[in-house]
Amino acid sequence: MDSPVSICATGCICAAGDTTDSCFETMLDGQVFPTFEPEFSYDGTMQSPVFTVKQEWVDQTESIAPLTETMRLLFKAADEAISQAGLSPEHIQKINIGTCIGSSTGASLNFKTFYQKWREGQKPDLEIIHSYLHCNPATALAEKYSFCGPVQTVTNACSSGTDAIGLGASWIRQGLCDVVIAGGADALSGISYTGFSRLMITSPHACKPFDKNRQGLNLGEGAAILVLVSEKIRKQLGLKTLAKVMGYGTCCDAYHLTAPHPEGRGLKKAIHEALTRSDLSADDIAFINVHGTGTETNDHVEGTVLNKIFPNTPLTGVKGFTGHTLGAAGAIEAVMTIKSLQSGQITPTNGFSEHDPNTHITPVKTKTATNAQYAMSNSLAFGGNNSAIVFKRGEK
Amino acid sequence: MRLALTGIGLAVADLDIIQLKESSLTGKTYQPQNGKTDTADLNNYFPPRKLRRVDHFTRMTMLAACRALHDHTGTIQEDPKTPLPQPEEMGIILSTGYGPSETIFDFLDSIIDHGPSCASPLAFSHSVHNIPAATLSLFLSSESPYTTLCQTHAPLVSALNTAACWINEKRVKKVLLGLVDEKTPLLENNTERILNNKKSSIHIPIGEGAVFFLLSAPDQSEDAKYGTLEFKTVIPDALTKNMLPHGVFTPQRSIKKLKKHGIKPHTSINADMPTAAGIELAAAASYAKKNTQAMCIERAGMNYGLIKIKTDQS
Repeated sequence: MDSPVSICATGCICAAGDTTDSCFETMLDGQVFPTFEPEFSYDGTMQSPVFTVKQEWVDQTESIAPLTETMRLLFKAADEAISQAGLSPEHIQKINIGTCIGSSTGASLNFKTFYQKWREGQKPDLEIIHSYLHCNPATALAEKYSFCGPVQTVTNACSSGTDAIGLGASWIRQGLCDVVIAGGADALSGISYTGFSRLMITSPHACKPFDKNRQGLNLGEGAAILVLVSEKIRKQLGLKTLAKVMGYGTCCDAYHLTAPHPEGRGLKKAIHEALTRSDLSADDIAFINVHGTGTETNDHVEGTVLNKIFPNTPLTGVKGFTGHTLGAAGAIEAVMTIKSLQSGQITPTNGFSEHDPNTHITPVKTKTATNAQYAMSNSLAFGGNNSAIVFKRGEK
Repeated sequence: MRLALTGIGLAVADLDIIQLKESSLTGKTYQPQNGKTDTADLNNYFPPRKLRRVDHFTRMTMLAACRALHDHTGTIQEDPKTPLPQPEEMGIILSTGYGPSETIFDFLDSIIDHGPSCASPLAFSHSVHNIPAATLSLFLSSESPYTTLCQTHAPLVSALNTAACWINEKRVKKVLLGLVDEKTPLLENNTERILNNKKSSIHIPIGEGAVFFLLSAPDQSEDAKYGTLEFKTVIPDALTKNMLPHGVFTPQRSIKKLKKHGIKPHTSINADMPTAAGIELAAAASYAKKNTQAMCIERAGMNYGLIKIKTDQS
């Protein structure tokens, strides 16, 4: 069994809100609708609405090297979490703090306009290159706060956020550092939008995870941070434990580069690993925050696996509130899972209304009370990557 | 953190494993010939038909990884039918500065040339950062954990930390850890422009390649063909206290900085890439095999990652 690691603060921003609490409140009692954005629609055959973060929620102050949108989101979530943890500059100087951030588009060379001009023989302004070089998610976050511990940007596509949290917990257990700022961030990108559209997996309407009439995913953007703390430092700083990271498992399908294994081979192994490392059985898991993208294949495979392992466990998915936020998804879902554990309320699965016998599961449709002690969050990614992580409720 | 180093594989432009070993012992620094990494040998490992959609970045990844597996067992690949000597429960970690750049540009080309509604979905899926490591897992039929790290900040030490965590937590018994970056015309042009704007007198040619290490728990010393790695990150002031008198290796771009600390390291190839410390760790391992110990130094922002290698004889 892996020793549990305390989570002492969180931060979150996505289409549902600009703080952890506002996101959770929206998911419990509110609604979010994706919108058609001019930058993210090309023609009649490719239109899919997206979940955007309101511009006024993010600090638009200019910096010397222009910040990427991913970094603005990440800084916003990190500011909330670090402030909640009460980490002062003095603490930051004295404590070995690591930074482990998952991202997909945030570390990618997606500068189309620059590239096009360069291809045409022009010498485009290098500003966007400087911006890219200064905005590697984990490195830029560590630099902003002068964190001196290990730095890692995890780029495992849609499981990046979950993997960053799992790795960050390992750093604490292995004594690599005493605090880890772990999470994920991704802004909407026209390049990713085109790619997902061309893979024919985006929905022309608001996504409907696990629903019989689902037509695909909507992209979204956001960031979330969890502050993981060693017991020594937690006691020293008198921090409250919101929740604990228990076991984390990650496994590869080794089946196909973009499609999950039809029987969810890697996902089953990842879930088994996460449970074993938590010293728990499937019956101990009170609810699951699913990956639930709303695509035909993901929901079929994920639903089939979950139905086999957790036939009676309540399931919820947040992508009907956030869209698929790629590298941020696992982190946002982890923060919402922790909020559910703390508050005793599972958020409804926005977009789901009609059971699909092909997915074998029925996620919760309405706000649902729970006295859960343990919950799981799952992420599936391109490349056949599957990750599962278990959280334990902390102090209320 | 400590790990046993049990195999090394190289697929680097203008530098093969024999040259690397020679360089480590003679102090010669190879000059790149502006070439791309030759990956034709990969056709001896896998049927060419299976490789037809595999891009250059991933080919370098796969070739160096397979060579590391053979180096561990002291075997050679006769043809694609030769089974790869693949250990059980082996995780894969790929660390890169920029990721698979050419495939990203392929996708951008397809958007520019054909419009978004006809852009290539295949180019998109291959441009995602974790696809090279996923392809390696797929070709090796490995269901063990794999991860991709993308950063110019200490990509080697970061990957070693993750490898050590995985092995210490018994997630895997071994880790196949690779450092990969590729050269593109855009990268070369941007670098030149940035250096010109800075009026920099230093110009290191852009390099490319992949180097892989097979790693296991340090207590498996019978397995440690190249000895044991001991690594940590230190502040600049602590640098001299931790230094070894001989056999210090570092990428070309770090030499000037280290000389300011009174350290005179060697570099095996005059080429610049974010993951160049991987090549220098391979050189340090060759040096340590003959001279019992060596060190590779990688810059980590303002600090330095120190990777000591000690063989049994030391």
